[in-house]
Amino acid sequence: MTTAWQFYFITLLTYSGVNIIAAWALNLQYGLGGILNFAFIIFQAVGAYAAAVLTLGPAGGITTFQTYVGGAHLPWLLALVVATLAGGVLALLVGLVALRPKRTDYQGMVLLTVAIIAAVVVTDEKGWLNGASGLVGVPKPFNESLGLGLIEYGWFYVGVVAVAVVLVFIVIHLLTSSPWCRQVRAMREDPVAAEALGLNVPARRLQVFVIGGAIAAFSGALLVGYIGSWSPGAWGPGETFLLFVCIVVGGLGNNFGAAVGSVLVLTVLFNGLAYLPIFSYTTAAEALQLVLLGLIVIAFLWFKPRGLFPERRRRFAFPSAGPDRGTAVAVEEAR
Amino acid sequence: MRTRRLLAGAVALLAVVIAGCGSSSSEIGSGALVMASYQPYTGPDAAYGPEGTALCSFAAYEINSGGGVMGHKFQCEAFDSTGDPADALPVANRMLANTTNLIMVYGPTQSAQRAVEPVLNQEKIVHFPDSGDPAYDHQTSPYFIRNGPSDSLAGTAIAAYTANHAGYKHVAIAFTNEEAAQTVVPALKETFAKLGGTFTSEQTLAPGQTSYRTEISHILASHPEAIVTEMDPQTAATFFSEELELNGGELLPTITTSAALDSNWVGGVAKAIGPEQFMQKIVAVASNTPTEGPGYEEYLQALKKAPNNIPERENYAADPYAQLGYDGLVCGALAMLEANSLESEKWAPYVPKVINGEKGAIVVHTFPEGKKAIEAGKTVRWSGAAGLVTLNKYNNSSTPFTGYKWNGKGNGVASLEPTGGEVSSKELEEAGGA
Amino acid sequence: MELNLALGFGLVTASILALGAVGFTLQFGITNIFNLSFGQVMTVGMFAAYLINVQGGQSLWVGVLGGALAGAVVSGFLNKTVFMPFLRRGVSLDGIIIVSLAVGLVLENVMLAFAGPSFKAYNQPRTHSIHVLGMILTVQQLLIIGISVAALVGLHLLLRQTRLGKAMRATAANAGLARTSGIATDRVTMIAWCLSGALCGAAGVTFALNLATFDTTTGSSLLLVVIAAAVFGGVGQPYGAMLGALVIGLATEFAALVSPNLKEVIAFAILVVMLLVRPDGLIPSAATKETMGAR
Repeated sequence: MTTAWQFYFITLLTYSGVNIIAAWALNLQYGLGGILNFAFIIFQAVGAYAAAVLTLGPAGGITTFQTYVGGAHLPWLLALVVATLAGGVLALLVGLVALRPKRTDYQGMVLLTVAIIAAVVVTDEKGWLNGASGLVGVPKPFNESLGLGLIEYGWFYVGVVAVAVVLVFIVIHLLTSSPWCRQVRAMREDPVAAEALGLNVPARRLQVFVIGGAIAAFSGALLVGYIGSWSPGAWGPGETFLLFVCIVVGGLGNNFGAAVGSVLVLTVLFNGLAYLPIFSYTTAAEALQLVLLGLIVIAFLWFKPRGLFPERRRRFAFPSAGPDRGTAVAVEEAR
Repeated sequence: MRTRRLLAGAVALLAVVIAGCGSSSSEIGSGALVMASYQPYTGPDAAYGPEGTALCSFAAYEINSGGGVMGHKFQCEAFDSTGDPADALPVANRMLANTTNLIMVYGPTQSAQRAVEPVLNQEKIVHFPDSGDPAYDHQTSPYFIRNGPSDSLAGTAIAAYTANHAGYKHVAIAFTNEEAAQTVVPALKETFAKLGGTFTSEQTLAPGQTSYRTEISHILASHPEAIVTEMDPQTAATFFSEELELNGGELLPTITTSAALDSNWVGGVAKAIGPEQFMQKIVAVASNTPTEGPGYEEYLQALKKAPNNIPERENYAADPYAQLGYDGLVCGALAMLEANSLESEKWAPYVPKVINGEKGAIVVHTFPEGKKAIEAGKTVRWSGAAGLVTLNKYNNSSTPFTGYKWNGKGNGVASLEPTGGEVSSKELEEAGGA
Repeated sequence: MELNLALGFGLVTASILALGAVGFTLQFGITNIFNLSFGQVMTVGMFAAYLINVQGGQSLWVGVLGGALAGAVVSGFLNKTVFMPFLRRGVSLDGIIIVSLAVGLVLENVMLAFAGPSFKAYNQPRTHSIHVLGMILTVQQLLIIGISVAALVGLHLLLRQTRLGKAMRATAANAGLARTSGIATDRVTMIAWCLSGALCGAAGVTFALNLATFDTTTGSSLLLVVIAAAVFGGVGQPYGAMLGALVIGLATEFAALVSPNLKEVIAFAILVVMLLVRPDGLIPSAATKETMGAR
């Protein structure tokens, strides 16, 4: 295999691992907790930024062309931990505001607004995180002590990501099979009934949100360790929706489904479509690839509305009809 | 357990599927050599893509009309670098892995550059970035050739032009908060202050807003002699049309960067404010890009004759990005001839030599002319679509700058003419650039 | 003086936002569908007006009508062929968000494939500025404000004074109950989608007109601000959306006096503060639903 091919695989595998972790975090928040976190990508971003500034060292020096706050030379593992915590803290702050509305869809729109604010502020305040140019030259984790070539290092990093995926899987698995998660599911199915049974719904919701935010930040820190640069272009509010596509395609509430969905959509479909032999002198070829992606997603939801791997129905599940299920059921009943 | 095993299976399957489509890339085999246009074809910067494909096709036509290099013809392929560094990286990897006979690349643009530059250099692919990111002002890779100006140099030049040639000492600056615009600002501010200028108003604009009227009335109230600016096409169209409206149908004298010479900028803004004010008031300070002379004429020929259905190709007749990109790719081909090799390790060092010209080199304007000279054992210096270009030891352009305005000859406002103010290399050096 | 100027500019922005935000909230209120393809439907309106105005040589105001019509047709078409069938099939409302996202992707890129990435501009006569109460506005801008006010007053009358409006409000409040009371909710929903599509198309054209140029991504970039205005007012509340548009529109222009680069942030920060005080928006929905509906 040529080095170019190896680079390609290394990138795809690293991205897949990062996407799987991110999909699990979103699945926890939305698939299990029912929180429409349309600001998901900012939690991944905060992890990436935190890991970047904490390993770049103080601003100035060799990298005079970029300005940022909080520069330090932490060991990578410590930076990774701090980045993860940063995601949790940001989620706590955002959650205290954005989860206040009673309706979940409404929360989603507030979160979308938060994502836009974050993108605009970070782009604009050049002094904080170097604005639109973003940060560059983020040291590769363990690179100096290992002294490997670019390719060998790449495979090493794939290994690091694989370990991270396993670790996150264990955490997620423990969480989702715990009694705590039963309460979370109950809250998603019917918050009113859950509350009536004595569950503190807002507190549960905030917990799910914070844990998901921390895991998202962890994935961001892993990603920036590989790319070596991070800027607002990489975390536009639209990126969140792609992850939603992943978990809906995979099957909401199902961790295995989320993993498969993210690989299928972000790795296979996104890269695979580019192999179609179309060439044009305009943007038509690339546009048609995206049209195709849209159509595949629509067709998929039509034929597999509950995703590839639907969540298993559990014995304790509440009856599916809530107090007011909106038009969907009204229409359904009318048939 | 089941979960992880299945997952591993899926990944392995994916690897097999992708490997199946591939072939070796690093060694050049028989058949046409591929020049890649690695540019955004989707997203907000999607207009760069067709420009890249077009200039690449012109260069391919030019090279092929001289019989190509060592029996190989040249052709172009397009790769969508999106506009997002994270999405750009896998596309670059795919381009490098899966393109048979990939010989050189036009790109990356600024948004993708920081993510993909290390991979391009590692794979020893000669590339001609069309970004002005000052982070690469002192780069040392031989595979990086920036024959257009860095933004830090552009900032210095625009300040020197404004103070010394246009004679304005009190100006307002309005730049969008985007990466490509903001990298111009530090050098501009520093040099302009050094030259005794002051800013009456400084506005950083968020692009794509419904209106900039409040910002404009702020600028107008500060009574500047001129506005110094760089904005993306859409923001510029909104801004200038609102300025017209608030300033009694007239623009203030406006000095902008080479971003304004991009065909999309000219098209968008001219449509929005009409050609008269555009031609009267807007000046773009850009590295010298003559629109006459034998090298430029040859470019026009390639532009007209390049086969295939390239849409709106006349837009690229006076577009320094297209001209410099074409020049870069043709110089690459000439460097292969001089090195008598298709191995980038061997021919890459000849690219700066072809651009700068070694002692005793003959100036050539067309590829066939250059090929003939090289075959006769001479060394050449390229003077093509953008005239003579000079590279410094970091493979960055140190070409002098000129103020350009549009004269409306030909179609619309497309044709450029110099205002007579040239910011020389010496002046740039004194002002702290280069 | 500067305050008056900013007020005038803010009113123009608010008028455009109001068209979009009311359209968005109307769809949402009646069908509970969080339609992320709304931005691309705005772009469809822009291109329809472009065809009429530039290719067809008609007046720009015919173009605005055409844009609104195109928005209505596309919106109604999507409702009929995509969203309703998906609802009937029992796909969750959240799943439909993803469907709408995919629809937006398809719409935007079909336009990109056909129209290309270059910027388009309308043919509009250059008119004089009019000075009113310290505000400077062009004739076009006064017309934009006029169109917006007329459309919204029309909508108000429709919702409050007609049987159809009553049926719409009933459907929004409780579709199941409305159906059992003999309201043809399918038809009402269809009409609501067409209406909101018309507002959406009109918002698109006036936005493009105010921007001077547009391309295939312009509508989706406006959508986020439209959503913010809708959230401010309380989603599903047309009057709240109007207020939200007014607040966000004015706030952005006043904020530009202080810090032009952060004008959007300041406007959105007001939104956040407001949400801390009133978590469900200025005008909370009458029936505060706890969940989004069937999953």
